[in-house]
Amino acid sequence: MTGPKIAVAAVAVVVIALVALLATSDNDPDRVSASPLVGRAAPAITGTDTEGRPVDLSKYRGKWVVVNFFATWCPPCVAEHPELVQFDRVHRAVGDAAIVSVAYNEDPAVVRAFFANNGGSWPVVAEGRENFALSYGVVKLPETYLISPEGIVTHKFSAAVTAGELDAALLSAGSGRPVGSGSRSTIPTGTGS
Amino acid sequence: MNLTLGWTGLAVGLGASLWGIVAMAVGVRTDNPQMLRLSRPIAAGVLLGAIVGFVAMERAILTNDTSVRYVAEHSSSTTPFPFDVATLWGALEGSILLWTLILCGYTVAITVKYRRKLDDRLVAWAMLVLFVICAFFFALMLGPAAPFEHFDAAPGFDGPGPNPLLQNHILMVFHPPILYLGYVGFSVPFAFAIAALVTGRVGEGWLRDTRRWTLVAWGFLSMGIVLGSWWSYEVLGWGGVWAWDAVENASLLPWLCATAYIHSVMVQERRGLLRVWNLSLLCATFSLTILGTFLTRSGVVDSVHAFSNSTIGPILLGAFGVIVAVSLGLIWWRADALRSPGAVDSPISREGAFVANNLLFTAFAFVVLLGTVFPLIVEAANGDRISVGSPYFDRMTMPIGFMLLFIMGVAPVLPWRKASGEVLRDRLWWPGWVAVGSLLLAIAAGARGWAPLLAFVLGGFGIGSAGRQLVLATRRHGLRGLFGRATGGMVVHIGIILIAVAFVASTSYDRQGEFSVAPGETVTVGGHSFRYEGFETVGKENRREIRVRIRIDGDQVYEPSSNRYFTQSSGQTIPTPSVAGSPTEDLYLNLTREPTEADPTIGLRIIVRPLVMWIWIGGFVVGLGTLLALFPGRRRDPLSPVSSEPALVLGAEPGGELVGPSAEPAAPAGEPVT
Amino acid sequence: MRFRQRGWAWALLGLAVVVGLALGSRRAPTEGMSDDRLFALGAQMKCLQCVGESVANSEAPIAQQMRSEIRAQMSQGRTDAEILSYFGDRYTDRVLLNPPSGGIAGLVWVVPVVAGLVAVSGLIATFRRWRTDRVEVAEPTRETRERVEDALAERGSGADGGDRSHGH
Repeated sequence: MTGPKIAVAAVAVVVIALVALLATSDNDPDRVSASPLVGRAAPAITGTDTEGRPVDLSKYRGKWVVVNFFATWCPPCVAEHPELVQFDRVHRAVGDAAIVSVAYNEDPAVVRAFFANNGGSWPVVAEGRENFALSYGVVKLPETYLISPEGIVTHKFSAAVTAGELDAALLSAGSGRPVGSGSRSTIPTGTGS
Repeated sequence: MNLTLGWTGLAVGLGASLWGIVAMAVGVRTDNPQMLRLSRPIAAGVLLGAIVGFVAMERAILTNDTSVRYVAEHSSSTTPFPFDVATLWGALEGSILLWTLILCGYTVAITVKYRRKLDDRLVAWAMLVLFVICAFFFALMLGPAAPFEHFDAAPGFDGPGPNPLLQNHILMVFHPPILYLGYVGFSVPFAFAIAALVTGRVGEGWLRDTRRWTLVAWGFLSMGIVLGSWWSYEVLGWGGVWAWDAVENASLLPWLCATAYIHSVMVQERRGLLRVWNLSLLCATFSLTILGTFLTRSGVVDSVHAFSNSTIGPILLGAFGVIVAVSLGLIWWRADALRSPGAVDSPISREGAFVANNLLFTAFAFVVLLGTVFPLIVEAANGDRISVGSPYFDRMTMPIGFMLLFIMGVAPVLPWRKASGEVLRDRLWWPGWVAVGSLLLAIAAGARGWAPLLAFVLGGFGIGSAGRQLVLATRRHGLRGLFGRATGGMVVHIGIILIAVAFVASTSYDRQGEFSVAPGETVTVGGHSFRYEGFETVGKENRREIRVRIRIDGDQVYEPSSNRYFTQSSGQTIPTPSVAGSPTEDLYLNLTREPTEADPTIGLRIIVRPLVMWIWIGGFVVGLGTLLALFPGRRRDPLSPVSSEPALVLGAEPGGELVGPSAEPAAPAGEPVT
Repeated sequence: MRFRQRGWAWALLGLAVVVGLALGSRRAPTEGMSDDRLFALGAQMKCLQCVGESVANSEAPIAQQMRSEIRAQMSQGRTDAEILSYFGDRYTDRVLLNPPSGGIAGLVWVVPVVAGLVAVSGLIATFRRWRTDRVEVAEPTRETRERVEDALAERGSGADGGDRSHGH
């Protein structure tokens, strides 16, 4: 094969590889995404909520906790809110899961008004300088983390979440039965970093 | 009404393109010159279709005809002039309409320029390729990327208007059309390249004829890229000029191949060498244009420009695949005919410099392409998501850039075929001392860091060399010597060097600061003081503007502002930076936190960047040089041999006929070659 | 004119350049609390909420937050590597604009260098081939020379002058 033909063949190989790569690339972000935190201890969240009561994530051991990062000026968060209200109503009655929200870049009064208008009565921490979002690796709003009764992060949801998805995650990561009845948790070992 | 008009225009365009394909194919097959000459009226029909579609869309936008979905989704009656006109190319379907219009314009221009040679097989094949490309884009607009879809608008409905970032600065009106004039312009030399390969007439005739087209397209593409950087600087608020964003890279890739081509083609004109290189570079330029369009519109890579994800992604990728397959196939088929009669005698020669040039530009393009798609490669391999950003591209392209700067200085003084040390020492003497001079000047001005200083050295070297050529040309021919390819090229070199050195200096020596400033407070950055004096709120037709007054060095007042566009349903707020420019440095102010009556403290970001203005000046010089290069020079007919063997030049006519050596054995001298 | 041919004049030029470059060296700050260091670190991290911007450049809330965190960590005296890995641990390698040098991702550094070496060696090989090709053609052997002379002599003795139409 002469020089030009070798070059043509080489370029053809590279281009075929490139086209195959671009054709199979998926640009839809996963709803349930990989996070380095999955399988590790949940970073602390402490402070006072919008009603002035003290909040400490570590006090929730023994229950599942849904940590939801949101803001009232974020439309998908507003859309997601009724799902959280629903989830909270069901699981508060059973007593196996609770929600703790972190309001990002918000005035506590605005958050109070939002909850008054839209329902929901779980603790909301209006993040000031504490950088909770950073310690969880929050990229955009809304994001939700599911924390097991042992305080380990089991799931991360990178977009608006529904009550059904939260329930399914609870079932897959734990037994779904209330804690205290010997639930076996199958926590996925972390992706590491 | 607009909808009907639009559909009709597109249908006419597609119909005419298909007719053109058939006419050319049949005409070439049956050797029917009558039919081949039809390409001129058919091309006019294609252009007519495109014009009707374009006018229909503009009319719909300007009259706010929300029965057209594109208008309902992307336009608003409150958008001020001239941004309402520019709304047409503000989103995907409209940008394809603009592209098609420009493509049809070029097609018609070809039929006008070659009106006496339309029955020549090579021209006919080129027209066929152009008609195929036209048909492709019309088909896109009649199918997956349809701009003229119907929309049921509630009475009084007003659309959201173009993205606020697209209405913030006048440059946005010019950047896309000029960029497209560049991109689309490369379809013409590509069509001729394919025609040459198909007909077997791979000699030098067609090259000379399409040289000006290629230069025009290159000039527009360069201008488009510079304008895009300028826009990015003035609007996006991060005070930078080039971010190695995926879409910026996508525009750079064809530019790199095209630049390599316009240099390497000179070797083919002179000595008939590098034929495979030149054809490959042309095909690569056009293919990369389509690949770039794919990358912008498919969303597979992160980008500021990404239009919404749509179904045309796979179609464009398919088109890219087809173009590359056809090009490679044809080159393979004609590989023997493409063999050059001679060879590069010595690496230290003009030819050798151009070969090195080709390699460097190819390497540059390879690195940029690799870095852009690498996150996809890694994700496909093991699912990890990584990022490849500025630090990688800067580090990898820096050595290539330095080598290119060096070659820019040496190549103009290199003789053809072979250079002796004596000649080089003689000619590079003054450029060498200009290099040292600029180094000392830079150090005296406070510049530090070996990389930017090396840029100053090599830049001085290049400018010295180009300047020397200009001086020689004007000495010999007076003012007339400034026109023509050779000196025009030297002016372009000067422009490019200005851009390169200014870019390196502005990114190496910037000072930044972020502050929370209360009214009356002063902050200092980079030796300048900035005092926040107050703010005011101004209402405009489509936005509310909060203007903040900053007094610089107790002297001028600049007003960065925060603009809240309320036609968008989510009420986007974007900051508009304010730039105090001067030839030595730019003072860039951006508002990061709005003041309110209750809390007038602002967040202010200040960047002091030296020499930025020289990037835009350099861009202007590049444009000027391109214009100068388009004028005919004083050279003799380039087809007459200087250093190539006489046996090859048969039937060459001074008028630049598209004849040339073909794959068939050479006819004896004296017989006309068809 | 002859002055510029002197070797020592060029050596002087080269020396001036080297000395100038050496004089002007400077490194980016890697410790302390300066804004320069803040933006240098920020430029190495991607703003994940934006498209195509670094933490140093972006005004998005997450970028502002990350910058304030970097500032806090700088004041605690952490090194560049520690700060970068703090963010890498929480956001995965995606946040680092310099791709990691290990594993598959490390290929992005290696492939261009390898391709460059291949290209350069290909070029050298091509030049060498051209030169040997030419050298072979340039010097006919004595045997070939004799054959040509014989053939010419033969042809010259033919009456009709022979067919000379081989083109130019």
